[in-house]
Amino acid sequence: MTPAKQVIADAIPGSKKQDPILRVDGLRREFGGLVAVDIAHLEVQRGAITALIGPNGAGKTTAFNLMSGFDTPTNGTSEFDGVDITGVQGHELAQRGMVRTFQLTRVLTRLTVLENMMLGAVGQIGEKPWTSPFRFLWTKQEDEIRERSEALLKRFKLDHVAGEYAGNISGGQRKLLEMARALMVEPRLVMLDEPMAGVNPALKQSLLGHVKNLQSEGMSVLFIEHDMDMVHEIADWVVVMAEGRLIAEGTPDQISSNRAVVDAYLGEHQGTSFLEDA
Amino acid sequence: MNWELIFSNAVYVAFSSSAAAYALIAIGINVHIGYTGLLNFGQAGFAAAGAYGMAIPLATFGWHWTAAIGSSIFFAILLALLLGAPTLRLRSDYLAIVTIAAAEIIRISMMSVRFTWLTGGTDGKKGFADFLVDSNPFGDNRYQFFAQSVNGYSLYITIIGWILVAIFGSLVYFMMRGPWGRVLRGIREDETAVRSLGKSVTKFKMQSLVLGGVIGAVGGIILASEKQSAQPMEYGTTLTFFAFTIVILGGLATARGPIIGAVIFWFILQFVDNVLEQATRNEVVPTWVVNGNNFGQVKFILAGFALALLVVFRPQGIYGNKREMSFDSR
Amino acid sequence: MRGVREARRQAIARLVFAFGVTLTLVSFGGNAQAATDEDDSRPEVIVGAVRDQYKDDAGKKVVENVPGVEVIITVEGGAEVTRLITDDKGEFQTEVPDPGNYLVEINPDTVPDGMEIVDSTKTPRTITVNPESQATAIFFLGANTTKAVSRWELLPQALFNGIKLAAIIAICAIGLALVYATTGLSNFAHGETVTFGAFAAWTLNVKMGVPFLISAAIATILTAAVSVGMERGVWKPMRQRRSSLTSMMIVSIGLALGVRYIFQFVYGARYTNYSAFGRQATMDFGPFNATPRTLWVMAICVVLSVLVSAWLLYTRQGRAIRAVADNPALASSTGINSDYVIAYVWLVGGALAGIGGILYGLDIGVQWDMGFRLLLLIFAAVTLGGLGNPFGAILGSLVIGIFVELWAWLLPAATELKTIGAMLILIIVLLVRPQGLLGSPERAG
Repeated sequence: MTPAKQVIADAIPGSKKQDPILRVDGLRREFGGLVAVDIAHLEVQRGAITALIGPNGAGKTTAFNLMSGFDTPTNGTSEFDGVDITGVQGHELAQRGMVRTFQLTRVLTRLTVLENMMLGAVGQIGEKPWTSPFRFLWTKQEDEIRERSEALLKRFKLDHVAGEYAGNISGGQRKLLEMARALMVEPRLVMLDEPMAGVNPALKQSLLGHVKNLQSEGMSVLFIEHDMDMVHEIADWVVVMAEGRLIAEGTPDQISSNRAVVDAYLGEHQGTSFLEDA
Repeated sequence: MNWELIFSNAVYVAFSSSAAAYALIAIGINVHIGYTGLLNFGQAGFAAAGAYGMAIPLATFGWHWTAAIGSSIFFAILLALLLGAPTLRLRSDYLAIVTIAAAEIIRISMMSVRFTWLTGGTDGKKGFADFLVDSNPFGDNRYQFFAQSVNGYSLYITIIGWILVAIFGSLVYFMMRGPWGRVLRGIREDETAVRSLGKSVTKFKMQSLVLGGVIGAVGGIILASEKQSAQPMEYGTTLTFFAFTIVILGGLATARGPIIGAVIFWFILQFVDNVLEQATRNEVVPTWVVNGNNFGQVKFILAGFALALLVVFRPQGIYGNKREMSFDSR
Repeated sequence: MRGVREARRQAIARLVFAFGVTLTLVSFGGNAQAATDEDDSRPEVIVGAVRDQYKDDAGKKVVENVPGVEVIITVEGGAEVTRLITDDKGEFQTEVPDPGNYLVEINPDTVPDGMEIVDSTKTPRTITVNPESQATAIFFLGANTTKAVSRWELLPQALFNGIKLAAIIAICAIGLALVYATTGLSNFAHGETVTFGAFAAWTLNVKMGVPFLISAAIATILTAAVSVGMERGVWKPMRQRRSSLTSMMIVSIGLALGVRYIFQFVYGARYTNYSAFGRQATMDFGPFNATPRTLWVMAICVVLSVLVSAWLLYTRQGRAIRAVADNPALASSTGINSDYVIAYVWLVGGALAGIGGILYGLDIGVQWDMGFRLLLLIFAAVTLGGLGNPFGAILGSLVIGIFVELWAWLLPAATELKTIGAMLILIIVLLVRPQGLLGSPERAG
């Protein structure tokens, strides 16, 4: 396993990174006059695990939706891997290697676990209505996809439920399935929306391992998290949002001692959870 | 009570060209609601597009029948694009309301006095079936199916109808087993998740709407060919919801569901209708219960309540795996 | 002069007689049938007349008989039955082979010079001949001068008719919107709730001889009770089973289909009227005319819409409904019993739909599929206003109602297509503003 990558950048909101995989500028989203997100500038370092934290209602998920093309910003531009992706839709971003998961797992309940996985592969020949009925056109690719799916399922310890309907597996298994399925897209940037929320400690450890694995395989990770322990354990870099804006950036250690962050959490939680966690 | 006639007629109708036409229309609706989760409440509109799309060019403009069938398919695709474009990005009930409205627009326009020269108005569009009459190998012969007599033309259309059911039934079966069908079924479960995996959900939904709509149009062609007349009243909302009942009866999201459903549905409906018809004619039941004027409504009442009861108590149809086939995903 | 007056008196007497006969047959169709000898059943007959109607110099309405006009009778969707020439009383009569729908049409070439088929006279006209009874078709001709009324002079009347339709749609739409807002269900059986109200009032009024207003009040209570009964018997159990909204929507369609044909099974396919129904003199308001009945219908609808809006805005129950609509989970955490709230939404929605049905029946007559035909307009109004917003539903109703009648005004030759206008406007609005007029953008998505 390669060691965690050092992010060399200034610990100020919107700082420049050496080699950004994602860059957003002037990202803003209003809901009927209320500003939910207003990020002046943000860069996400390639090959690093970046955590996005902030108190409830800070606009983390909205920012996620905007960056992943699942919501349309009021204004703002973004760039993925050096290419302008302003206005590009979510599915197209996924095809280009930027995949996301959801806070509440979204497994396809009446498809089997294996089908959930195989659906994730991009560039499938048989995904056209005119090729789908002709098995010989896509059977070779389908076999490759199946092999890849089975390998991933094994890695995520889901191979024993491959034939089950995804609606029948446990909540924890759904979290694993969603992460494994995202990998079927062969992404360069994986965006995880609270991957560790509401799972038991044992599973948490296993998910942590999987996230670290993504990095060692050369993927960049951006994830939303509430639990500072988790952030400390795996994040190379932390971005903090409050009231729709970036209020701090830095290494986990720098963030723990950041006055603005503590204040932001104090306002929200009366100081208990964050200080204890840190 | 002539039980032989009651039974042989019900069995005949269950395998008639009408049942084949309904099977096709139901196969189409199964692509929409069963596999993709699209709430198309205007399948009758697609069937009407099919029927009139063929009948008008043939009867009014004297096209060749191959071109007329092409026009029929063209109008079904056009209708799918027109309905899908504004609604497929919106929540699913918008599609339901827009499709039911569009189907009614089509039916009312076809009945309009103003366009009688083109559509035949309330009388229906006739005079297009020459190519079928001329190619009918059975001629004017009459065939006997127990107590039921069948004429050569009906037999011919019945055979064509069931051949088309076989073709489109297996086409849908194979398409749904492939990666394309997998994406559709994924969209039925959770379109946001499928979008996050790099699929253009709107495009897939549109393809599904077109496929199911075209199959519905083929059903409409059979329906009109059998009577040698495209009748506007036949393409009302009742047609759509009969097709719904058929699909749920036979099993949603299964290839055989709409076909078996159509046969069972028509057998039961015709059987009940026949029994009531004979009962009222022979005065077996008192007229205040049911009489010669209102027995015809009983089949609609049955079909309606059957639809409601099936969805509540046997969403998986008369046989089948409960989980896969209900509308409830959790 | 005396001759003319005499002829007029006779014509009116005949009209009244024909109307009375029709009404009697309609009301006691079943009894009359039972009384006749089985083997000697009475034939089905179409009778009718062609009249010339105009205002004389003094401005009085004059009706004269028009002989020698050819009338063509065909089976609806079928073959021609016969052609008749009106006699010197301007009348025609024929037996038809079977009960059913027939088209009766005036041959325009046989209309005497100087006269014309006026716009308000529908030809061909569909009439329903019931078993062993007689159906009537009376055609009015007019002098060519009637055409001189300019299109613009008809506009106020069109707008007035539009507002009347809008008022009826609105009180039906509020219930649909409230149910949608609180439960998410697009209730396709709402149309049958409307029809139920009309038939309940009709049965009490015509079959049982209860005075109309009392019938209407009882029918409203009955409709509200049935509506709550459906909530408790069908929708609440389905919610508790966590049935999807799609399931519930399809169940509502199945119920609608079944119930609609029960109405036809029991009441037949014809239009019927309350026994209080009679021709009312129209009152002239200058730019438009209205019968007192129409004004009552509109007044009731407007008052009810205002009352319900105030109830939603200013009462505790109204606030509870809006809370449940906004966020059921949050509402229940603040101590609101959402099942209870939903139940009285069905109660109020059902009562309003029942009243809507009764009034619509007063306006156009009571028929088995009246609610279903209205349903598409109701849905158009609710969707247009923003799904689930009761105030949007009222606004949407206004747009739809007026649009439908403006269409008829703009295209008088294609009035049968006027509901299409409403559907088209719905589709266009969805293209431009999918959340509807008063919907919030986040909701549609």
